[in-house]
Amino acid sequence: MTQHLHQPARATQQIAASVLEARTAKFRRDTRLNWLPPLIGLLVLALWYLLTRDQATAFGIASPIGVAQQFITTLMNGTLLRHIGVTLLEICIGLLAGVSSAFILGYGIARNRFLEQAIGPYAVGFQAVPIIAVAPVLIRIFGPGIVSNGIVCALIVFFPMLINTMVGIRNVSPDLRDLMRSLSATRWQIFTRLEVPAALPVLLGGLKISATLAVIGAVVGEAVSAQAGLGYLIYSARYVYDTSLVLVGVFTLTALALTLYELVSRLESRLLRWQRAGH
Amino acid sequence: MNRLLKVIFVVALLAGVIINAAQGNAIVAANGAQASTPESTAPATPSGPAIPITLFVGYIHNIQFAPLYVAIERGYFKDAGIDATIETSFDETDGLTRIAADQLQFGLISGDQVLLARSKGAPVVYVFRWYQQFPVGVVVPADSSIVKPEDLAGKVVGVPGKFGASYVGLQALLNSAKLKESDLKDVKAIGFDTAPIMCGKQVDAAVIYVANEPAQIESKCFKVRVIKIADYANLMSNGLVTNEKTLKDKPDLVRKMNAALAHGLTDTIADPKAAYDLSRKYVETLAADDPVQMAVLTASIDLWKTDKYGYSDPAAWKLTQDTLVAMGLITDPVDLTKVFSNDYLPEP
Repeated sequence: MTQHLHQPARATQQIAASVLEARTAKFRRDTRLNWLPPLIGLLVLALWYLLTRDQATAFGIASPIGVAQQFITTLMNGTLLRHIGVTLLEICIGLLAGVSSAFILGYGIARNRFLEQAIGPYAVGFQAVPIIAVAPVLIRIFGPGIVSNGIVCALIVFFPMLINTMVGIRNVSPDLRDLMRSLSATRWQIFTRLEVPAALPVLLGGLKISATLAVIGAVVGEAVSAQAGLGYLIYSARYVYDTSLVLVGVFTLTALALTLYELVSRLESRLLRWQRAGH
Repeated sequence: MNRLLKVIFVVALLAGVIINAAQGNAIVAANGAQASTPESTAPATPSGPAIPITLFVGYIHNIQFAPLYVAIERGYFKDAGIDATIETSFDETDGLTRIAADQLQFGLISGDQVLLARSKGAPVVYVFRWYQQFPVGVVVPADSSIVKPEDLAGKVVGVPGKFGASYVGLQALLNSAKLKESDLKDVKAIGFDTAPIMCGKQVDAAVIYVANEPAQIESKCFKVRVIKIADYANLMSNGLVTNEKTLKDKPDLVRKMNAALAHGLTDTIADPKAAYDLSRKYVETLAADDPVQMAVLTASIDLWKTDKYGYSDPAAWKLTQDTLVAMGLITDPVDLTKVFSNDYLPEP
């Protein structure tokens, strides 16, 4: 009897042990190559230093030390933070406007055949319009500055989000929809309890792409008209051949894009925790 | 089968379009070589192969480059043993960087860019002044109360961006009127499409290129008045730039380039209509008889005229450097004798 009672406990222990073992193996796998990115970074840095050690090449390419010094200077005197602030604001406007409008339109196209026929081709065709040609029109309408650049940003993030919304919503199983309807679920309940959760992995994939593209959007907007922002910083630094400041701007933009990507990734792992638990 | 035919048709169509475009590009790329066609009026090439030279210009093919087209088409480069090809680009800083690195030997670059690059150690030298007058001005509606630089105080002024020759020109103009940027109500970066912004009266005045933009604004909305910056501060503008290596190793080549350019300029000034017609081969959008573009050429000629082609005025260089120093764009003034040279100019 006692033996019988102990059997489930032993089985549970065995399962727990195998799960632990699997997780440990995964952790080892994950951490085994963690040293690789920093090593590649160091190698690139060393190569860059060697190539720019000679002052004669300093005009064309800044040295890593020059870039580091410029970074510290612009950070300490507040210049860099001011430009980051402007670009971030443009990105926020762009992401908010672009992602929300793409989601609404993408959902409409995915769920409504009439909208798909009527707007679908235009929405896709619009992606081919060069933003640099549209930007002057936006400046005419909204005036030069942050709003125009935010809208340029929105236009760039719009398409990937639109496509991912359409794909995500279309992939929701019709059987599940029927099941929800048979349970007298309202449209809103189907939307919030079924469609959005089911499409979430694809939607967040779109958001990841949009977040990084938003950075490019802000820079494109600032190329046309701006008085501040990281794109403006790069263009004005290029004008005075300050290559170290150009690279400070480029690296800051890269860091900004990586940060945004990481934020969305964290949001993704939080929102999709239920999915992993299900597995 | 039907489907296969459709696919073949689409692929063939695309291939045709691509081949056609490639041929078009080849024609543009071979512009320099076209001067040697039988129809060309080029004199015989000197003995030995022509030296291939890519001449960088910081804009698309445009009527404002008419002297270059004339020099190529009439064989002035070929005559000097130079096989000149024009490279157009929107990125002047890239062009000058490549000249500094000797990846290119010649380019038409603005004076402020040469000073800025030189201040960062670039071995570039300005050897032929093309624009005798700084081609930037401030445009206002004809009925505006702004008639002189002092009147800009308290006004909103549009500039393409808060950098570049236009912004430097505005600063020089303000300096000449003892004004500071803070005396203006605002300086707005409005991009390069000035006409709609001016027509929409989003700014009180805008900094423009005097040769073409006033005509464009007038054709779209209202009459305008132009305050030429050159009348108050004649900064250095576009000219032929090379690098120290080319000057040292091939001084004759620099002299020949200057001579060909001077020849193209004098021909264009003497017969603008012929220059216009020759330019049509290069500027795809140039109609046979476009009065606006002809007006642009005429206005440009006013900026080129001089009795000493290519001559750089040291005072203009000093003024340009002083403006850049006052703007904080140059911290340590550079030795101007190394920035430009009048030693390679053709005999008058």
